[in-house]
Amino acid sequence: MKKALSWFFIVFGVAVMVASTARSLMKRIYDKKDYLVNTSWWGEHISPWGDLVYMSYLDDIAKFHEKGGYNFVRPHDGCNKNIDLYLCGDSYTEYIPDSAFARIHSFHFVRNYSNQQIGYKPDSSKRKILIIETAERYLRDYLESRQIFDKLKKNEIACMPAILPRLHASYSTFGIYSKDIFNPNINQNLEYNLFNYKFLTSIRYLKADLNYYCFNRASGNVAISDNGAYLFIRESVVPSGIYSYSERLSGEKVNQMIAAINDIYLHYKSEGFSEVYLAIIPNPATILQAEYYNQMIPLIQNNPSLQMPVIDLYTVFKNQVDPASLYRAGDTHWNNKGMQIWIGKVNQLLLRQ
Amino acid sequence: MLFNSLQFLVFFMVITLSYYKLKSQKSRVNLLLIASCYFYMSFVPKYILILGSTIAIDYVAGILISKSSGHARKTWLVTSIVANVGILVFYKYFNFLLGNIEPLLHHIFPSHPIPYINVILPIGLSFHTFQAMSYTIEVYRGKQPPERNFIVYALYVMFYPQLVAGPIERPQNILPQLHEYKVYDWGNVKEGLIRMSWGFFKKCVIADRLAMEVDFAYSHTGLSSCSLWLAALFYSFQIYCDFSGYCDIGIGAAKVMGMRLMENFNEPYRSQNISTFWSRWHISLSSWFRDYVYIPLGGNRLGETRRKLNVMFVFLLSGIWHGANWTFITWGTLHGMLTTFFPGRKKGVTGNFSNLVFVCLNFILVTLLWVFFRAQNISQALKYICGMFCFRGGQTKFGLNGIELSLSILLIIIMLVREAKFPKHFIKSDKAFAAYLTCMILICYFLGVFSENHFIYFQF
Repeated sequence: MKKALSWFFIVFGVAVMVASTARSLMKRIYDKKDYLVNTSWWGEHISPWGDLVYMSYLDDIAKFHEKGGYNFVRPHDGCNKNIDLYLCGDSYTEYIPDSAFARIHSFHFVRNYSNQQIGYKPDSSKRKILIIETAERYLRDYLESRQIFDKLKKNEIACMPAILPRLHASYSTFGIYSKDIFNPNINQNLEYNLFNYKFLTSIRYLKADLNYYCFNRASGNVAISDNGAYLFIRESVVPSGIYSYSERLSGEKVNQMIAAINDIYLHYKSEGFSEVYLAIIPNPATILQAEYYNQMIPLIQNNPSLQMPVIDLYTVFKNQVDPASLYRAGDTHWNNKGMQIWIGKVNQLLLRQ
Repeated sequence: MLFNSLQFLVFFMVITLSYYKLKSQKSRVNLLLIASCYFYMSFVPKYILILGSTIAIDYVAGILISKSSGHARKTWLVTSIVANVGILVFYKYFNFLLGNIEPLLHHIFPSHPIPYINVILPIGLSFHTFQAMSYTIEVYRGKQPPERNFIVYALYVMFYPQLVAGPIERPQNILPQLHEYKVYDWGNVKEGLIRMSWGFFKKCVIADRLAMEVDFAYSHTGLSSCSLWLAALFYSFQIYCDFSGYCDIGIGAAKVMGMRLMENFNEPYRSQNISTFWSRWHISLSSWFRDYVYIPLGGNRLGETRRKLNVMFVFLLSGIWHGANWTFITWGTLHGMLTTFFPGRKKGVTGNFSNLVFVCLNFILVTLLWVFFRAQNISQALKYICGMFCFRGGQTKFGLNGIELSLSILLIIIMLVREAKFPKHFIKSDKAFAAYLTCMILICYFLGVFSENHFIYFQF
């Protein structure tokens, strides 16, 4: 019996390590456990109240209950559709359909946090516009890794669909790749494979509730705002680190960021884009808990050396009478109102002759 | 791979069970070496090349030292030490040294940029370098025969339970064990698992909880003296629980496989003076410096003045060993000064109350010195200490709420009492063992703070 058990645990351990390491296998597991298709006891846990509620297992806390959902309205733009719009964006903008934008002849989206690239053909008959949208917390990372440079390739056909179904889409077959062996996400994957099941959620709710009611903390990578009304992604509100919204930025650091943004701007201008814009989406904490803010967005947007034009959402959000109405309480993202403000700003640019 | 990660738990289960399935010591050693390579490469794979090269150099040096005599013997030892120290200096101190002579370099080469190297410090470099050096020194002294089996020698340096943060082992303790076939012993397994669970408790439940308060205090300005004192006291327990917790997990993991690693801590905060503190804190490093630096320099054999100089030098080296930052150097130097100029109480002076007073005074002194260890730079450390003694003004704010602060204090008391009164990690009855382990798992899960926090000593 002992012998059989020990063999079982060896085989089980190896299997779970391999499954959590190989991205292709993880993709299969994600698909099988996906909350949209798997509602059984072994499906993944999901929360309708937002990704931060989901991550922290705080589904029981009513104050974070705010459902998502966006409405997209076709703008009045006449029949002059002469814009090829390229949007290099992230989860804030990836689900916006082309119909939400004005005067669009073609629309192409590429994620700036993946290895995706899309092609484009220089065409002087069209207004070719590139918008580089990024959540504030990722900006420094993108600029330091310079990954936004390689997102668009000239003289190739733009063939990526505007909306992609899921991350890891490129891993479609079984197999372990050499880069999988030391997968940096192995702990998240193990956690997903071993413990992210509906039948285990009550235990996790118990720990989350203990942390929340006794210690006023959220579990995992989630933090509670000072006034207790919102959840923030923890990495964005810790005092230091590349994602921190409060780490003091030296003049030298700001200059480096400006130089990198200018490089990107000049690169894409020389590649044939008639207009290139930068849109930084403020962290929820930037607007809702502004007393610790390091002023990164205004330091960039107001810098006289900045060459790239910006779609300034920070000023609009900051001057809102009720800034709390722009973000979902239990989610990293904006709500419908916040998104509509951004789309409105973009359409103003697109409608300009 | 962090000990406090799911990856380690699954890895440990698979490797330990497989270890006992193998019937020959040779295959067990091979398995452990492969496992240790994977363990190390999980941090940054390419740094295995640095570790591999030091292993190869010291393996060859050990054999050459044993084969030669006289001047040649010394030459091989020096070659091996220069290679080890050279790698350590290059990766750990090169940029620090350049930074300190930057004004001079700018003056001499005004148009040339400073050639800083863009590297990350290989994890645990100081630990395995010292462990490798202890092998060649012991072979040179004739106290340890050279290891002919390369795999066994590589495993001596790379044995995963002590690879990245010690204890810094001696070849006399580990190498014979790597040649010995360990028969499965349920008592060892129980003791190892109990020790591991205690280590996880100290790391995940205590150290990482205290870290939230400490990080808060060090990242906010304008805090009151009360807030700063609490965080400083918490840091003393954080670093103890973090590092000794790591050692408990490592020693326990080795014990499950029947291996004995040396103890690294012995209730250091019960010391009545700094000298005693250092005989109870990070014992493997203190004894390394004693055996390979202090005694070869003459120890206490060459008069009092020379002894004091030797002690100061050892503590300065200890500070430098911890990191390329003036904070560590200051911390080491201050410990050296206190050890040298404030000797302990005379033997025979006892009394429960006076002992307690000296323990408290010594703990406060150690706590104040930890501020240099924790701060990012000297300026922050000095500001922090000034703040601790500026009893007016400042906001009394904490990174934890009242309930969690109280819980933290309770947990520290539990930890101190457990280590003082129940130092053994063994439970005879299987039922009691199962109950204990279940309780520890539940406590670690429900009270643990899990945000993939590194162990503090990994940076060294």
